[in-house]
Amino acid sequence: MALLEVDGLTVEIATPEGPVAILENLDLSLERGRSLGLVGESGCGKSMTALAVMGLLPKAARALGAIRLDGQNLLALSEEALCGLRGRRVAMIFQEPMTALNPVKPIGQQVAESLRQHLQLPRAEAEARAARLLDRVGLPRARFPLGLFPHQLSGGQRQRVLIAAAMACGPDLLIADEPTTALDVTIQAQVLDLIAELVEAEGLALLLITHDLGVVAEMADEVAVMYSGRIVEAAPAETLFREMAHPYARGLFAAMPQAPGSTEDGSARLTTIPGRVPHPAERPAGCAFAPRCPHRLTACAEDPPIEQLAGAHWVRCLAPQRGAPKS
Amino acid sequence: MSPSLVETRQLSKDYLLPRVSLMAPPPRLKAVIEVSLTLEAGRSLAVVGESGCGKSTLARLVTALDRPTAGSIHFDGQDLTILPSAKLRRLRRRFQMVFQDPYGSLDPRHRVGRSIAEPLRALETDLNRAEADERVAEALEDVGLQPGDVGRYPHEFSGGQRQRIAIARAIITRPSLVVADEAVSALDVSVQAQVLNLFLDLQDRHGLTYLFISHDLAVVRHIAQEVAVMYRGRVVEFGPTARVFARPAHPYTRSLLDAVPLPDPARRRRGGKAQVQVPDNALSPPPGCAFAPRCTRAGARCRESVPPLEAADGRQVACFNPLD
Repeated sequence: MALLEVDGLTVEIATPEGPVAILENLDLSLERGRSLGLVGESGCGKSMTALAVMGLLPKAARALGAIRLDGQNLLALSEEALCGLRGRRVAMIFQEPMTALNPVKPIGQQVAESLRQHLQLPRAEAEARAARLLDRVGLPRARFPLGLFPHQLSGGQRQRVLIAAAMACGPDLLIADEPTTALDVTIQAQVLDLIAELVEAEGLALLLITHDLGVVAEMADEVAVMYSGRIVEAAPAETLFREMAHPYARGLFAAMPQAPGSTEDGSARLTTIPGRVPHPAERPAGCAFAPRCPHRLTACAEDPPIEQLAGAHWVRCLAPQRGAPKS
Repeated sequence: MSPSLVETRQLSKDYLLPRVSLMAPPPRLKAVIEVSLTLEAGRSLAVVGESGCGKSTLARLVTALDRPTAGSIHFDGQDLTILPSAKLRRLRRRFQMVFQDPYGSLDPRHRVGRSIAEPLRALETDLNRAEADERVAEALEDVGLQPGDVGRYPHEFSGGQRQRIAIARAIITRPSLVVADEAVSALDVSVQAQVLNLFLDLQDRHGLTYLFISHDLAVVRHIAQEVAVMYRGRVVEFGPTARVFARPAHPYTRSLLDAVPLPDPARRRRGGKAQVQVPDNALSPPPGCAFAPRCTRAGARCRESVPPLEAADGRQVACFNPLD
């Protein structure tokens, strides 16, 4: 059994015009020691998926289906039971290291917080452990005493503090929502290295949310591409980058500028995807990507079925593309 | 050779930080150190580097939003540092800026038409209402928005459309130079591609000159013919983008390029031991090359003196042990 199994997850938000589905019939599965990348443009539902797994959906939202952690359905748990899981078995790193930390609390306390809360460790022991954790993420106590405040650290260092806090109770599942988007490329590389190393050393499962296909290619074993609240393609990373099938995935790939070291003419126009992700309340019937799709068929007005292209390669499209994607 | 539109000579900017104690002199942060760059009309120059390397300060100096501590900036032959303020004001319509955050750079309570027309009201006061409206319509069309959009508010637009509005505001005075500070970094890749194409189209149509400030090397490779790599306030490598990125000479340029994640799982590099970089103090830089503490090629000489920026292999590089 996989550590995390998301089974037919639908999240609806109540609006004056009736319920609107933010996520529709999502299926995901993630084993221990593996990493799953969730990609798509803003507004596709990536972060909402993470919040659903954390049990942090907004009050107006209603979740249907099941999210199972080690077989236990999180959606059926009480808030109290969820509090016992959050930070202990499931931890999350957020995008904004500037706002995710409490500015008026020293970093040592913030890392030790979940140790005190979940493991009821006495203060001295929790602090000793916090110091070891900070050392583990590259913030040795000699230079980075526990009494430092977030404003005394750079963005990359703050992200390391968040990672240390997330790792404090030895979680089984780590959710990282755009963990490096706000960072410089060199710092991004260091933080990604750190996350990859921790995942490998601790045998964690990693759910990585990003819009950067480069980051996904470097970090994820499996990739799920989301569009407008649905997963439109899922495959092992090597398969996906070798033979992307969904026109949306190929469109994202083609919109990326060439690698900086490429010798091709730089000034050619980039391929773009016309239009934008529809608001969930205005999602067209059938395939939601059809209005923007260059390979649209009349049959796309109906919901496309999920098709298995190869072993673990699934796509939700009537006109899946073949061969290597063009960049 | 086309004439240079912008030329900076030995440009330096120090910022005085708050005093640590009452008697101590205020610490001095050298944000930009002796930067000499030329930007030819109709071409694009990108400045890359990590946060804090001085690239945004350079943009502020070039657009005369900040005065340099030393050195000069020549715009179309006129020295911006000594130009009387009335003349400088008249010259301002020829250089405009586009900022990173399309949510913060537009006043949420102003209709889009008013925001776009604002540079005209400040810099081209001789225009009458009808002429101004015409220019706004022209600028909107130029960036691919509808004429009816003038009456709408920023919140009615997506991030990409807002960035188009910010670009319309920048080109409404028909400038020669547009300085774009991280203008596409906040956008999704599909929207980023649209905005990058717009920048290229506008350049073709109006012969614009761009100064791009960015930390995204792939974007820079795509849009700029020339690139200047900055580290700790100094330009460490400067030359044609294709050449510099294909075969970097400075070890810092190499490390920036190596850090870019590539969309190809076969070339994955993760899994090694995570590197921890010990940050040094920007207020008391080492005496020699600022990059030496991070550099694997640094020798004794690198720790003693600052390498000058010198021509080598079709570019300029400031390094005693450049890569081949």
